Amino acid sequence: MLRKSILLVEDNPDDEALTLRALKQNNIVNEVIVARDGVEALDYLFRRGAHADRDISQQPAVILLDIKLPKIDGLEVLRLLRADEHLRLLPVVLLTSSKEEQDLINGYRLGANSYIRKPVDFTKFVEAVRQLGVYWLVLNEPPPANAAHKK
Amino acid sequence: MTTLTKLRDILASFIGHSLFRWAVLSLAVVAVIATAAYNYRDIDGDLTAVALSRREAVAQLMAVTLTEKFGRVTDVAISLSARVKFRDLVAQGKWGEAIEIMRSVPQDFPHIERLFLTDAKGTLKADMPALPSARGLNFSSHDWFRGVSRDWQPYVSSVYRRVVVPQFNVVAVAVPVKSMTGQVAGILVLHIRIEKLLEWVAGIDMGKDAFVYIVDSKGQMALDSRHQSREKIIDLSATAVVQKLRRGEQGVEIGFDAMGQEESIIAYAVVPGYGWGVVVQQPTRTSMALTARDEQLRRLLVGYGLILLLGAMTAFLTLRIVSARQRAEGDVRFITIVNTATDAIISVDQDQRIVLFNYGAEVIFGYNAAEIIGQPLNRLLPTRFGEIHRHHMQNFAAAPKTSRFMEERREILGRRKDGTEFPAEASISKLTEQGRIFFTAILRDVTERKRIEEEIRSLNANLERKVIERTAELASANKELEAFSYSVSHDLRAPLRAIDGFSQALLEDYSAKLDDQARDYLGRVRAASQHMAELIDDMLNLARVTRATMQPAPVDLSALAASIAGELRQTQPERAVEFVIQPGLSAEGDAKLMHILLTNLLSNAWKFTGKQEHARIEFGAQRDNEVPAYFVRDNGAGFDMKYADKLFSVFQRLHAINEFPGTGVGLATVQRIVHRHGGRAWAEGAVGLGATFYFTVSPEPAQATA
Repeated sequence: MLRKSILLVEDNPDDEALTLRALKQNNIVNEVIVARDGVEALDYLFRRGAHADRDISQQPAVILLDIKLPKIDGLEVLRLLRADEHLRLLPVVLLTSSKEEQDLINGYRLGANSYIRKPVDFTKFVEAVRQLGVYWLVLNEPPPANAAHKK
Repeated sequence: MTTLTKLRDILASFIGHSLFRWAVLSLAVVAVIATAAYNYRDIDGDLTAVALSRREAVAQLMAVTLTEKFGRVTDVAISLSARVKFRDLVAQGKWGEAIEIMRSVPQDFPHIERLFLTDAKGTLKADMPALPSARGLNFSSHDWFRGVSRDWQPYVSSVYRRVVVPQFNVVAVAVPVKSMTGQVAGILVLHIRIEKLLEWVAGIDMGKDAFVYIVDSKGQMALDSRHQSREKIIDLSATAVVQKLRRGEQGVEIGFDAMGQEESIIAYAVVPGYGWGVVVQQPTRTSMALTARDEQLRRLLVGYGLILLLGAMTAFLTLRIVSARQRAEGDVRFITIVNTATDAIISVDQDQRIVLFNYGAEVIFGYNAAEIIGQPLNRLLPTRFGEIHRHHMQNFAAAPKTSRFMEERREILGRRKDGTEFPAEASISKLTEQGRIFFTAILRDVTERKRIEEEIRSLNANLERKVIERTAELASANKELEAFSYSVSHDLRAPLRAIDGFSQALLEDYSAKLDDQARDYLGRVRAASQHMAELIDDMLNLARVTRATMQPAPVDLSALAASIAGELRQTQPERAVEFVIQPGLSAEGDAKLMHILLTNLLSNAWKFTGKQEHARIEFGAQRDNEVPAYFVRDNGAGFDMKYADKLFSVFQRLHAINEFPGTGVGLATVQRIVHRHGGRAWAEGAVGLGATFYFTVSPEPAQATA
């Protein structure tokens, strides 16, 4: 069985590198697809542009979505995702710097499955990513591929 | 200035016609009339009495005259009868010789008509002048005989008609003729024609239209001055006046006599010694005295009339003088008021011509009084309003006049000499005098007031706009701050994460190539970046506290403190800290901010008791004042009171960071929260003896007034 992929939506290359490093340190070897802004993330998810001929059956197991993104921000990506009948059930973890109240509220309201603030302390960050991986890739059963179509 | 004069006249006459003056005048008139009436009555009575007493005097004078005449005739008769020779001849019965002695008597005494002699039995023996038919007649039944023979004393008879022809009415005076021995020898009788009596009293002025009648001792009318030739002797003994006379009374009265047809003064007097009476009668109408009385009374009335007239004139003149004085004072006052008034006072006549233009009007309109008086009023009005104004004034003039000062206030536009227009507030009065209507307008230039009102309006509008602007600015500033915080929250932490993360990567991936010092340095880089992350978080919290919307509600502080204490225990389960929390404390406040507040204070206490073997943290409240002061007390490191005022400033720290970690933002946050609730925060403490942090969450009375 093919390992489920992770969609990391992150514009900051430092954060991208550190996240990948943290994943690696936690022995999470699933494929990580990186989208560097909201548009790219949506192209991937809706199979547009560069990702037009992507295999539809290969949906990511979890999307690690930053909020502050160029072009289209993370919360807008989440809203469009939840508005689409094929993608509305995909697990989305908001992984961001802020713990601004408005972000938390808006994130959960738009249907985020989890909200994690990236700690500055890298040691803590690694621990957070470990727990994330364990939970979403191992413990959590993703929704069936065709579940979104069923009422 | 015609209207000025009119106004003044009206003012003065108003003062002149005061009720008081009328009352005084009326009193004076009444007093004069009363005096006149009294005097009239008095003088009327006096003059009537005078008139009557004069009639009475006339009657008495006549009566006395008659007495005297009767007495004289009697005396003549006695002296004639007393002649010795005559007595002898009579005694001897020589009647013819005796009467001859008397021959000259009728010539000597013209009032004696004739005389005759009778014997003692009353038989006529001789007469002079001789009437042969009479000789031998006996007169014993006659009144004179009965009278003289009663006691042989001289006697004046009542009136009777002479027996012998020619017959006429006479009065007889009879005296006895006595012999030398005293025997009555005969009787001498003298006849007096009754008309003689009238002659006797003719010299007495009775007054106009007066008449007299003489009543004899039997009550018969002897003589009536109006009917001297009356032959019939009328018996008046039944009349009231004659009865009074026969009773011996005399006097005067006003009344109707039996014979008289009109009211008369009737004076009556007794002729003493003879039983006769005199009645003088005069119609009241022609009584000279009463006429005089009436004349006098008329004069009196005229006099009083003159007095009244003079009084009235005096009063009138006095009033005129007083009014003139008041008018003069009024004028001075009025002119002073008119001239010193800063309001324009303008009067126009019925034809809308200006008749009064005061100094205020000159200042406001820019015209001299001299050049504008006599000009039409619409010179002072904007041309476009002239017609409307004229209509208005006509309506006002025609309006029913309920009072002399009909007033209305309204805003109009005025036109100055230079043509500029200005808003004015005017009150207009209408005066009607001698059928002419005058209007007086008191007018105020309200340009300045309008300008100020406009300014206030504009200021208010500005203020409102500014408030809106400021509110918008504030809102926008808040938004910016929010955006800033948001940005800080997101963007400032990312580099720190990179610093910390890659430092760690270095330590992990290149540890073999790094010596201890390099590793130490990297460790410091990481610590610094983590501390900065904490600072950023605290700063964001502080900002959040400042801009958060308050939702005050009762907050259970005791429960909140207990909950926070539980969280603190979890962070360092190994520490044994005693929490003493006073139960039942609650306050009105924003729950979220209260949470941040207590978290900060309790965390502080937790932190600064970190080196205490027996840490004790207390939460309670003091109720020394109306407003409770809550406190968090610890037995930790404490602080020096001389830095107490610095405790609540941002980034102020009293301890080295390696001794007690922290950012210096926590107490600043506490203070901001209590300030937002209207309260205050303060601290007490000593180095090594712990600290107590107090706070209130509502205004204290002293502060409230400050």
